[in-house]
Amino acid sequence: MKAYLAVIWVLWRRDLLHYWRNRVRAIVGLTMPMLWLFIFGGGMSSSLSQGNTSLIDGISYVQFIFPGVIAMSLIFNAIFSALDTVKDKEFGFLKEILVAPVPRSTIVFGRSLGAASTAAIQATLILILGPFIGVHLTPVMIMLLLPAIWLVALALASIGIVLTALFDNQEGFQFVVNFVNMPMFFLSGALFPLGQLPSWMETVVRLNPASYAVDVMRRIVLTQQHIPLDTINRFSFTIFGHNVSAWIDIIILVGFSAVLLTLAARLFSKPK
Amino acid sequence: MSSVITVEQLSRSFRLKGRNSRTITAVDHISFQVQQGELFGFLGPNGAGKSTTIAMLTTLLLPSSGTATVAGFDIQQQRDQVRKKIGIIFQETTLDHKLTAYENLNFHGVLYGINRITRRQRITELLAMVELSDRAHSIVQEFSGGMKRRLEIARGLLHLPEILFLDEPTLGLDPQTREHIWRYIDKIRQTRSMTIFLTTHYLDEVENCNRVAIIDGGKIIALDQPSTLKTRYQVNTMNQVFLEATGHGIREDELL
Repeated sequence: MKAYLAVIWVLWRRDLLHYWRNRVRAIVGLTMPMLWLFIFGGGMSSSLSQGNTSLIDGISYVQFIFPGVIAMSLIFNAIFSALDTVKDKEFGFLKEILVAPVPRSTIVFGRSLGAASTAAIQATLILILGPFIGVHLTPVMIMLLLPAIWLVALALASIGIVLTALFDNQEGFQFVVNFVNMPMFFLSGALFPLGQLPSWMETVVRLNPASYAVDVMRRIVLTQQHIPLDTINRFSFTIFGHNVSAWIDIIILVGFSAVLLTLAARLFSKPK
Repeated sequence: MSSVITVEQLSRSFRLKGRNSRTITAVDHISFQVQQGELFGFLGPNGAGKSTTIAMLTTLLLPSSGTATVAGFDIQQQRDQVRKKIGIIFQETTLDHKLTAYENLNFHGVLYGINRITRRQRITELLAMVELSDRAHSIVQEFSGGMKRRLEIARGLLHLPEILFLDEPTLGLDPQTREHIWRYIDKIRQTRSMTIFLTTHYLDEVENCNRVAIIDGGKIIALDQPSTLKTRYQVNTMNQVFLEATGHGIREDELL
């Protein structure tokens, strides 16, 4: 057991070393969220508030999408960092692990923890942008957001690791990831409230893990900004006729991660 | 002398997908033994079944039929025990180019469950042996092909394997570097009496092998001491032996 954990640790550490050695990319990675917040969010906020109708009860549009933009960063970074494992396959480093006397599942857990950690760090950096768009960061909000960001990162990283088990080259992987990421982002409630959607769209939203990711983070941010629960629920969606809650989000994200990580561990353990 | 690798009727076939869907047999009921401490050359043209055999012996691929034991352990039933006993230098680089030389070795040490103190000590020793001590904390990306190979040799030895698989260890290296690499390998053989399973296309390198096997079309077509093989084919070099045994036609690439 100790040896098992040591291998997971060393794989996790390797991902963090890669991230740290490439920290310029971390700064560059902030430009996308800034575009969404300041340009898209800022522009939409001012056009929506014309005629003095505040779209969303006392919250500007840009504040509304702030948790969504954090989720976007997580969707793209957590799933995409699985590309490193595909590169390991393609360029041979994975063989170094495959011929070692360690269970294949260590690869799955080590890499998904690594991917989740680096994506979570990247997403946490976005919090710094909060005050510039009128999101007042409180210690409690940050304390609640950090574990939420981490859980969301793990859930999304588990999608990535399942995909890496299925693809041997970067082209195939990137094609599928692009195909998965954009719909996941658009249908997650990151950019618009989910209360009034046509029913087919709401069904897709319910099946989208990113919806629960956006929801849990939005609930934390807005609750801490003293927005009434009724208002928050109007942005959200229902399952089986009930409003989702932060706890439901968490349970679904934990369950989702567990299922996908188990599946990935099985796929990796299958001998050729 | 006892045998450390025993291969019996080992076979592996692959299903080709797509339009020309058919099954091809890459390795076809081969049997041989490698003795303890031997430098064993395993030769074959591209596509002959060489890499497939190595992949099976190193537990990366399951056989379709037949058995093999490596260091006394079954390659199908006791994969982890086999893995502990073997070191492998793959044809292509399998280093992490974003890590330092030291970090690559340390990573390997953790994978093989070597404790921290022993790890540090062996890494220092092995880096000295392959003359990379002063580059221990350089990122591997900056290394030349020869330096990467030397680092991989150090890595392959870190967990004190009983058998070292060298899959074309000098591929793409200049004659000076090749000579260097061979000096390390000789040193390893002298000091550790390690068994070495070697594949190479540089046939001057197999002149010093204790025995050489030649595989072609998935079957072992020759297996003996270099001197005996040269006598049998009435030639002077192993290069000529190889061409006599396998013919002069060009082969297509191997599957694996």
